[in-house]
Amino acid sequence: MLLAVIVVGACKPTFPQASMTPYIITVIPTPSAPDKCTITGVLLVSPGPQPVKRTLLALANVIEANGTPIVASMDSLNPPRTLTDDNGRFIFVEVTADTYTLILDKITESFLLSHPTSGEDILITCEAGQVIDLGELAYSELPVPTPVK
Amino acid sequence: MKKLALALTIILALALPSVAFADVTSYTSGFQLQNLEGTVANITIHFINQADGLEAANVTDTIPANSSKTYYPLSAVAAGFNGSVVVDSDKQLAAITNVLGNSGAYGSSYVGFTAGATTINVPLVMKNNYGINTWLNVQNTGTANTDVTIDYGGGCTDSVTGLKPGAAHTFDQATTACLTPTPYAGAATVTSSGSVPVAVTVIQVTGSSAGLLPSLLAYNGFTTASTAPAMPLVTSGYYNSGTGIQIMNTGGTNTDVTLTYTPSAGFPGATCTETKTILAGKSTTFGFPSLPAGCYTNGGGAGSAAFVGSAKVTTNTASHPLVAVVNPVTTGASTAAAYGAIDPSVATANVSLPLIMDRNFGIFTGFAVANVGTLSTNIACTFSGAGAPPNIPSTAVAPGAALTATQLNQATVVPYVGSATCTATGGDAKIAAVVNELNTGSAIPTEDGLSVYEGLNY
Repeated sequence: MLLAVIVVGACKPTFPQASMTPYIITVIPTPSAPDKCTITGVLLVSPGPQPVKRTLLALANVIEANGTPIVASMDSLNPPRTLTDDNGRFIFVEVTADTYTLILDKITESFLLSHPTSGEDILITCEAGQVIDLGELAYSELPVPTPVK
Repeated sequence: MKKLALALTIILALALPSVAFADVTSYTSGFQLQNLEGTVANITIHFINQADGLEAANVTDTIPANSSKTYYPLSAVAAGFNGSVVVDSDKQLAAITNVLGNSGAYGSSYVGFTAGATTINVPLVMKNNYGINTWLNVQNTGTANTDVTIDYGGGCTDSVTGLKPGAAHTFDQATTACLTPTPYAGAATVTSSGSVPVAVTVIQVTGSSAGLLPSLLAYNGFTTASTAPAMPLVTSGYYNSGTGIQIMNTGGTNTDVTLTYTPSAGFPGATCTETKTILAGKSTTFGFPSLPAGCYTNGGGAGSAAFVGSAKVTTNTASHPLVAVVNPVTTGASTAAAYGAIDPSVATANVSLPLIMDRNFGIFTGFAVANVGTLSTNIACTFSGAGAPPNIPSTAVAPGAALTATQLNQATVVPYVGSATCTATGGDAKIAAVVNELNTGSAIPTEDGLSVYEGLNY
């Protein structure tokens, strides 16, 4: 289920320049253009679950055949892309209205994320002017280094 | 309309309980398609199920000029899917498939096929070889049904009949009873009946039972062989790197093979040789766990002896066709990759490196361009993209040697993502390239920080 969240401002998230610099997203901006949306959520992994920090996420377009989502398609070099912060929070800004799914992007390889509990596809319908909150996505296992226990 | 079939083999959400010695127990796949032409490509992707050989679904899409897209099958076709993909396009495409194990904890990649062959050589298959197993998929790239046989030698064979066009079949060495005794490591030959071409991809799974760190490797079976294959990039002892080279003798008698290692300018190492006898139809490992002592000079990490360069078969007493797979590894880490040795007869004067990076979320590339000809040639490389590293001026490279370069801290604008082309002039102008993609972990933590791909000759 997609939930709207309170919009507290408008700015483009910036990526940390060094791994030791604290990186916390504090503002979830509203889309500034009429045909855009904002997509946010929190990525977590067991044990804990705990935040998945400093991990790239990307959006892939959903392609249907006869009304059924068949495959997701992502621009390989410059997709809509963001980095989770130190709390696992991610935010895509100024996203063009369309239907997307979520990709964990390791640059040299990438991974389609399914819903952590149902296992179903994460289909995100980005409609103009919306702020879409995917909530906490808590996985038992992810293609990221094992968190320190 | 020009029509190009591009066949990939993929396994989606497939559990392989038979891989008893491996920690990698489930697999997913995605694949990247690159449009190599200057106008939009119109494509159709066909998913073929292994169980019945029939099309499970198809979709159409477009890929902008000189761009690439990565595709991820959704649950409508992905749930429990074990099969293959065929892509039709009106433009020339290149393809790379990522095979990910255990929800992506381990990854490997292989290039898609534009054509197959009726005989495919596979230099390395294993069954419980100190915790390492292999399995391979054979895909029918032709237009008629075919019967496929895999021959491991020593009377051990396996087969499948009636493999439909586009469909794939899995041969799992871990459950092949006649591969004895274990640990088993050897070569195999795949043949297809009725002049129907097939393609082969091998997945190598390292488990932790023997104290090794789990990893996943992939390489393609070889449709051509060479009496003198070349390996553009070989490293050993350089910041904990190592390289294993598995050479298969496809001939009917034994042959003595000498591999000559040549260091790259500006890197440690000395010219040296390694000679071994390879039995008929069998494989032998060169270069691992270490190169011959004479290959090393000081210059590796922490002052250790190291070698960075290339290798080429310089003696092959029986002149039998050889194929080889090269495994770069990092000692003490779960990093490994694989690429196929180069057949110099198919090398050209130009090679394209479609993905070059510097400080791209902590990932950078390094590449080696080898002179696989018989005469000295001049190699120059040109980078593209904003903030690209300085072009590499024309440099004389001796036969068997390589021009090696790293892009770390070379770009003027970061993150840098671009491409490169290298061109040879003079001599017989035959070059081949391999690109390493390394993740420093500074931005994106990783457990498997090494990937490799082969340059595209054109």
